[in-house]
Amino acid sequence: MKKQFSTRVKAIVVIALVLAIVISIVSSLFGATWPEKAVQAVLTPIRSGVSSIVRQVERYYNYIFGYEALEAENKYLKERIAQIEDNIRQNDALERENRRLQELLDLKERNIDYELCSAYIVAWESSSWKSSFTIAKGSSDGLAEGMVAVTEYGQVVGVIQEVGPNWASITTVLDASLKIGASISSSGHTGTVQGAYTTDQMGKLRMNYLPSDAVLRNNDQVVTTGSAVYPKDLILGYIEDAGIDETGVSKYAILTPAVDFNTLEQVFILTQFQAD
Amino acid sequence: MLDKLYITPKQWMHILRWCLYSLLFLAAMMLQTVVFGNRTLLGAHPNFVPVVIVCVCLREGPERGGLFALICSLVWCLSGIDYGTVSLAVLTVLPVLCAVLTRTFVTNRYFFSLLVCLATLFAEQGVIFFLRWFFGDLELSRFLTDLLPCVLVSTLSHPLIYPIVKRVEKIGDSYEPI
Repeated sequence: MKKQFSTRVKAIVVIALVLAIVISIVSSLFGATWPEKAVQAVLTPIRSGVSSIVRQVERYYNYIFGYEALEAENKYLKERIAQIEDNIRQNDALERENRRLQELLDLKERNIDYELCSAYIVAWESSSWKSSFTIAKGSSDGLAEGMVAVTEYGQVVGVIQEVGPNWASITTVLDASLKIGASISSSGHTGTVQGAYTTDQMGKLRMNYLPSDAVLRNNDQVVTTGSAVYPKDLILGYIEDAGIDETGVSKYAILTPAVDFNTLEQVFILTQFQAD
Repeated sequence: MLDKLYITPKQWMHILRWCLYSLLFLAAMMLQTVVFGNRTLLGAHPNFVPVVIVCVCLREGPERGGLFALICSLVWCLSGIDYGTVSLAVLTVLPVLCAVLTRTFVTNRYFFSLLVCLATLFAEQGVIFFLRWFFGDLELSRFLTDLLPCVLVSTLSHPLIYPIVKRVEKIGDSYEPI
């Protein structure tokens, strides 16, 4: 036993423990350290390569085994297109009416100038406790910590937590650590949205601190209230359930996220916007 | 002087052996973060990296295997995972101590390495789980619904990874003195 537990073995154990403590302290004080950035910079091209191979394989798999499903989806989509075209015609009429009313009331349409940077997801955080992913764009593309990631439909995906020269780590809205100021579109009631962390609410969002007299209806849209990080009116999700919270003085709502994280491949980082 | 720069066939075999171990680690890492990063296997996120580290460490012994465990867990920690320093400490210390025990007391290394895998996965995921629970990010009920399936599903990869490591360990054996 003593022979096996040599000085070299003891040194390995001690180095591991010392490194763990030092890295913990340094990263909590200064964020991502240069060795972390270097390892990520080396791993990102490999992850990008593997990720694109996986995507290709998945496409072939879906093509071969998902033909009937695709056919059904195609039929459904054709029906949806017809429905949407009908909606567009109605919307055009409403838009014209709205424009006339706006002119009448002399309201100025507010324009927010968004600057977006497109990026593909190359790796997901593999633990069950955290919801985050890595993209193959970084500070060299103008990204910085705290920038918000959205989909092409203006739905909030998450916020950049760490950034390296060619990679960035994004914590999604599903993570319980992210709290976002939000309001219900129809009623204007405000609250805070965060990732739900109980087992029966996995993959859902929870809107807290709603007034006890707030009327909450299913499928009511919840949007951001706007801050230095988030522009106003980005879609967070839709109300699915509601109740009185643990304190008994305010309400909460369970939301279905607007983003479908299972099929998410590409995100857009909001590098610049005009805050209200 | 120049003869010292010459790499013998036996040394080439050793280089090949450690390159294959590194490739196995990289493959496990890519499989875990890219392929199964956003997917589940039998309802859980599998964790292959600890299994590779434990198998190599137990087969190669506490010194060489321990150094491999230290380097791999350091790379794993620096690759941006959640609570990476916990993984660095657990994935080095536990396999090294168990490798010492294996060399001293154990004759059937396969079942012992299966048990060590289970213990290492449980320790690593358990510590991270309790830290997140302590900081209010998780509910305790997820211990049964998420942590245990994750550990069990990850352990299922052991019967696949162990024979590969055992095979790689044999590389260069023909050059050992009889």
